Amino acid sequence: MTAAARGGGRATIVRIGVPALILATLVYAGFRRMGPLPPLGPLLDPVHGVWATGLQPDVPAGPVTIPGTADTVEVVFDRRGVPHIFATTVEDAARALGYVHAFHRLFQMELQTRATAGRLTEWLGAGALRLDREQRRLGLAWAAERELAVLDSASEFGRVVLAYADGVNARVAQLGPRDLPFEYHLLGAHPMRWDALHTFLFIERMAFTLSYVAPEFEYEQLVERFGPAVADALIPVNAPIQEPIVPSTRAMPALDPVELPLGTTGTTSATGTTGTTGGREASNNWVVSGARTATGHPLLAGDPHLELTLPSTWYEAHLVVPGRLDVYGVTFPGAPAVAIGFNRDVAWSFTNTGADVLDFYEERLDDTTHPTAYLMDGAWLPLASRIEEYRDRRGRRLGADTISFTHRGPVVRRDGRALSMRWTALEGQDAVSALWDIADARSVDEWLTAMRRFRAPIQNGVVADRAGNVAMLAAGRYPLRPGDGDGRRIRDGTSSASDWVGDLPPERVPYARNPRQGFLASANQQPVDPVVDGAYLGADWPSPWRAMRINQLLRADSGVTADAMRRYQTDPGSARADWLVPAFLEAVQRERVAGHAADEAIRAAELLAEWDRRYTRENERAVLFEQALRALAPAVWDELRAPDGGRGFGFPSDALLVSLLATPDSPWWDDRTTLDVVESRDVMLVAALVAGYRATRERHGEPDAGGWRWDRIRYANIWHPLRVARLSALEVPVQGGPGTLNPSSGSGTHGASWRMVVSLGPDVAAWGGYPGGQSGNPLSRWYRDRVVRWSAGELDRLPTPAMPAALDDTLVTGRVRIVGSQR
Amino acid sequence: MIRQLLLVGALALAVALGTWWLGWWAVPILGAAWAAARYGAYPSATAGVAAALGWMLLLGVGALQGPMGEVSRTLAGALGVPGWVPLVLMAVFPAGLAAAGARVTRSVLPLLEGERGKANAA
Repeated sequence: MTAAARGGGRATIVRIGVPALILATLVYAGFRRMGPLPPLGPLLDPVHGVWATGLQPDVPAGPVTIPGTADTVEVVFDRRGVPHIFATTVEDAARALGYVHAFHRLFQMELQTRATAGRLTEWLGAGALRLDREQRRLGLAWAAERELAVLDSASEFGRVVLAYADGVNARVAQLGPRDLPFEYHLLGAHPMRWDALHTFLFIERMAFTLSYVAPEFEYEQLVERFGPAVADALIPVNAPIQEPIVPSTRAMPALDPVELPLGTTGTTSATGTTGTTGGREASNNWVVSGARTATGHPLLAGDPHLELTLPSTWYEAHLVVPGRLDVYGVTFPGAPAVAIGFNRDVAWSFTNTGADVLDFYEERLDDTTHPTAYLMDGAWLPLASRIEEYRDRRGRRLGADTISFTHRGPVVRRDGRALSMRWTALEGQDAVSALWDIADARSVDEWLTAMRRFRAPIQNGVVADRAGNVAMLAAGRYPLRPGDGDGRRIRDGTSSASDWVGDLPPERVPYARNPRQGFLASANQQPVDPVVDGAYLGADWPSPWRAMRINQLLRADSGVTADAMRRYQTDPGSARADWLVPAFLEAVQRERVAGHAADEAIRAAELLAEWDRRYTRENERAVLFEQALRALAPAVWDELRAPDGGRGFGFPSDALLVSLLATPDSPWWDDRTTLDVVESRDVMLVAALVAGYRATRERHGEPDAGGWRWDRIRYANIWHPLRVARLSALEVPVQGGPGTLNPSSGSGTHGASWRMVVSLGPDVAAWGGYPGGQSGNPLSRWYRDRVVRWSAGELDRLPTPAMPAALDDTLVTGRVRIVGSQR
Repeated sequence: MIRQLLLVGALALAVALGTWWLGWWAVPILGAAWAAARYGAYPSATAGVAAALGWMLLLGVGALQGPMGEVSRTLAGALGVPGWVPLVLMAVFPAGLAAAGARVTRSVLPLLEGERGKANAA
């Protein structure tokens, strides 16, 4: 071959090879993921790709066929996107609810299901393996499968769960590429079919969010480092300030100072804070009897505080089955029940109780790496096991775990120890079935009867009926431990004597009905005054600031109106500030009299004294108070830092700080970094105020220059689960601060996820709203349409038409008929 | 020249219809077919331009019915890129597919014809 021929051959190869390579690359990028990018072909396709999400309708184009539907169901969407479902059977109503949930929130439903089941790797690949492993080791999927296994498919609830799945699947079956929700385009995924199991997975997820609270590890480390007396004081069984849900026999609020010895500082390298959750999931609810309302009819308010997300945790719906059901409220996409709401006779709402329903047991296994048995009362018992496999989107195995179970529950490894976990959430919750049953309660008594079956996660339910009754039940299963009943310790797993000995008897479950004070309020505080009943229900209760504030408001108002209830939900007043601001001011005053207060401290105190202790958006002093507290906590609790200066234990509650204020010479006030001086309470308070003043000026400028305005500092951040800013609502101004009825956490990620006020007169009247919108489609007008009104504390009137035609046409966005398939 | 423009317009329409009926992968096939048909000079460039026009046409039709600008910004936000990037991609991606498809065809065809010619001669 000549050189010219060889050169011509190379040129041909280049001429064909380069464009072929480009073509192959583009086609590959079209079909397959490249790094974080989804396949570009189906994503960018202008007809079938992500662009189609901008053309998707807000309401289904009817009629819709759902196999199994017995009779025509009419669904009327009002102008807020709320479906009013009119069916002739409860199964048909559930079918329609499943369909509209899927129509508006399918991605959210699947995401939460996968997250709970530990199946995110099937979407996200190996990057999600750690998350999936953690999730599966909790045993939530195992528990959901057990719940499904005992579901009686012939019972009404069983039929409802299955019908709901039919409804979801009817929507899934309709989905062509043009109908896929936005996030599926991003992930390059297609929705999975819905199974009844997924409903139970969702409920397990809620139980995890609300009741996976495990103080055992921090308690154990505190004992090791400071001794049991300090551990008992820092994670107290009883709140230092009592304002219980069940009205007490003594005047409230009551300060029950906790004895706080310093104990001995050991040499442990413990790094305290444990993986507990539930700290930020707060909530409020209260109910006022007709004796204290302007109209003479009961009023009920509820605002569960959860992680704020877009789309919202909640989905509003109205289900009507003539003669059987007429319920309005918020549902969880993924479950066929109204969780918080009202019917024509009864209204209810929940807050999380935060009871201790989870224990750990240190087990002895026959083998540390491949255990097959655990020691119990001197005999080796076989471990049950379950193999968990993790797969990627193409079904390839990414890993596998063998999870062992004792008779108590799953075995987890921690610090080289094998701990089995017993948790009521894994032992049958009856949550959705109880919620389904309360939907058609006709009285407080019927409601209470249904809720007594509710087992987990324990909830403080308040309820009112049209007859004028009001009640509260902290419904759920409270395990009883042997011995002193204390649930803060890790127990010996080798003895059956460590096992739970039963449940708290029904007569001791926190409950109140038609109290003399005329109202009942819960805000996650310790439910019962320990002076009244000392049963161990839990420990380390949240500070009762919100409970104190709402009780203060309700005690002062003998003619409560629905609008006042609404205003109370975002009331800026703060019991926390009422108790702690004077402590700073008095300390400065005492130091001033003693001639020890510097000008800076006096100036800071003057500024703080100007504050009305209300976290309004425009106030310019709350920031100083917060900065002072922020400086105070690490100075007071410096003993809780790790010996090596690293991260130590979490700081105790502000209520414990209040308790400490009563002992000015407590060794806890001493700042250990100053070796030759022993600080007192006043010195520390003044120093913290000065430090807070300096920090505030440094970060926000001089006072009254505008930088100290609260709404420039704290706001709500409502994130999309994929943490995409464009799909989120960020820096939403809010009224409220730490410990107010509308609390604002530092990151702004938690808050009132739903607000509702119901008036139970001859005709029920209700108002509500949540920070988001009914649709999960970011391009929909109903994606975040309610955020502005939520931010302002406004509520919408909730229409409750008794029949399809009863909803005024001006309020209607669309009407859809759902029919059964032709057989 | 006018014929050439009309042909490019026809190809753009074909790309739009092909995408509508078959999906995005119709684009490289049509690019290849365009080159094979030898309707004019610069088949790669004209195929690329026509493909981009075809997708823009579809996007334009979509924009008459819905908020395509908002979709673009939302997609860009989700991908962590500036808002104009998806729109640029909507031109570059089909153009690249069609042009590369045409170019490969254009390069391969003479070889195939040469082989055929040799076979005929033999």
